[in-house]
Amino acid sequence: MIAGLAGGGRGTAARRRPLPKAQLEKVGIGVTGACVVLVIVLVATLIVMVCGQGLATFTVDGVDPWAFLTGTVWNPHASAADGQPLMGALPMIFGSFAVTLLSCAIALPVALCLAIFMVELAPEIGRTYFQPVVELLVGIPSVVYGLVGLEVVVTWTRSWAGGTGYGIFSASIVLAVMILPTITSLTVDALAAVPDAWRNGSYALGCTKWQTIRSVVVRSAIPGILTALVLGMARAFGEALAVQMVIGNAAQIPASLFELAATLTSILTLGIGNEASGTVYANALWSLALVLLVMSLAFILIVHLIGKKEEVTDG
Amino acid sequence: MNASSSAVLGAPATSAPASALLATRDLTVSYGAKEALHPTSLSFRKGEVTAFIGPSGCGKSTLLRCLNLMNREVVGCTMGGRILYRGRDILAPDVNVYELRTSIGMVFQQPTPFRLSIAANVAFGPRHHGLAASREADLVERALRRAALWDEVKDDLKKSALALSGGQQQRLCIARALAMEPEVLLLDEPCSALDPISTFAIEETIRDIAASGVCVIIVTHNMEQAGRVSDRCAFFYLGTMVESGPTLELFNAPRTQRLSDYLTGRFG
Ligand SMILES: Nc1ncnc2c1ncn2[C@@H]1O[C@H](COP(=O)(O)OP(=O)(O)O)[C@@H](O)[C@H]1O
Ligand SMILES: [Mg+2]
Repeated sequence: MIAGLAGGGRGTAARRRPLPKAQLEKVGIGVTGACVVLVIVLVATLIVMVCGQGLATFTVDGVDPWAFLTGTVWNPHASAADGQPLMGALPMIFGSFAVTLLSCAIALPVALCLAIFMVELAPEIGRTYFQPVVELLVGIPSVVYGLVGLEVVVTWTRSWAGGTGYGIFSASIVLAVMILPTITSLTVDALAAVPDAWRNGSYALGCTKWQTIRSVVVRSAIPGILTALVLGMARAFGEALAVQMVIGNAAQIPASLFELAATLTSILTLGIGNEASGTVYANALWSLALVLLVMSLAFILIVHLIGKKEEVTDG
Repeated sequence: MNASSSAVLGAPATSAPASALLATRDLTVSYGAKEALHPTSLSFRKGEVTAFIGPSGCGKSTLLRCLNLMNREVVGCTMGGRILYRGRDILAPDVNVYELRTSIGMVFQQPTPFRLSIAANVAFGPRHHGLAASREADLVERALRRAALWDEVKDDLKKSALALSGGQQQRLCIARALAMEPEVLLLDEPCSALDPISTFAIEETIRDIAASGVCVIIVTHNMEQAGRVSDRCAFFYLGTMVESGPTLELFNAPRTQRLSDYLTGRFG
């Protein structure tokens, strides 16, 4: 994302301007350079701030980082017998990973089938009907997904699984629907980028349409599909509002998918408004944000690595 | 190269000799309402290289794509007349195109290796037609040897095919087609994207493949290439097959003004 912004805005100099060319050149470099610096400063500030505040838990409040990552009791207002605050983030880390993996496991096969239909089987219908629908779905605010999830998914889950209906299962369903359009549209791009020459090469070897789709089209598009998946995961991992509305927000490792649970984001958004900054609790929340930031950077890094690998095999 | 066969190409159906493996009879092709290939009758035999020549847009590729029914994959394309393969009309609706294409292979203008290893590219066709994994290594080696690529890639079989040079990629595509042990090999301007040295290597390969008994049909717009590789030639102009016969005869004594103009470079 940073690279994209930095690269944009080149070549804006138009002809027939009153300024001489050389001067225009300088103005262009100045404006684009300023934007680049601005973005770098923004990102750097963000990272420094989250790191500074997030690390305060360990440097100022003296919490053991390992205990923070592996502890299962989250009650930063209280202290354990040894005087350490009860600050185990594992339930939230577990919850975040659980909803992310489960929602992707639900969304990916559906997205792949949709994309195959749109690109390989009925491109005409795909372009006229599915494309606009998918684009519309991407743009729906997450609070709407959360509301519908609360009304429909939670109620439905309660009706057959018992309990409250809140939990990792409901959250994963809602997230799966939310990330489906993202994964689908990126998978469509990946399949469409496979050259027709490869399809013809496969047909010429006597392969059927399905053999061609499976062994040539989908196979060649795997790096693109993985990128789609990771971006979907990043979105699921970072989503706060919709998840918070349907997961129950109890900081515990649930015994089943249908018990109350919590994610990093849901605990963070619920807690942050009620705390004065600098308190032990506020610092603990910043530490959760730090975990989120590190994970998001990891997702972006994975996408870049996939892209690199793709370039190497293409070369 | 075979003077006694001068009557075969373009002979009417009734007199087609039993030795013709593949033949077209009044074959026509239309894209939508436009007829791109007017009635064409040609015969092709095992062990011979036939070249389709003519200016671009005259229907050479269109005819070639009929012979393995690749035109069935082209939207709006219809074929008329008959195509006899081993005496059977393959335009009949009950013919299994997938099976047909296993014995009539095709190589395209642009090299099209899949994003797979070299070995997996060669084994691609056989794998999808039930080859036992135990025989795969042998088959890959044999096909690569026939395509004169073995010595260059034998240590890199697991490497990506996309890392090969253009000429090597095209020979890989030839090997991929040969791995199916086809009786007929169709090549559509296989050297047009390649440098002279790769072109020469592929021309040699084509002669060897024909010598091993395969019926080879090659599209080219390069007269010298047609002269070097082909036994027989068919000249096309604006969708019509104008003239056909042994390459030497055609080149030395063209029967039509069109061909003689084309050979002397007056158009094309
Ligand atoms: N897929 C297609 N759809 C419509 N017209 C086509 C298609 N392919 C070829 N044609 C037309 O058919 C004619 C012959 O084309 P082609 O067989 O590719 O010529 P050549 O291979 O001799 O250069 C051309 O006029 C071309 O425009
Ligand atoms: Mg052509």
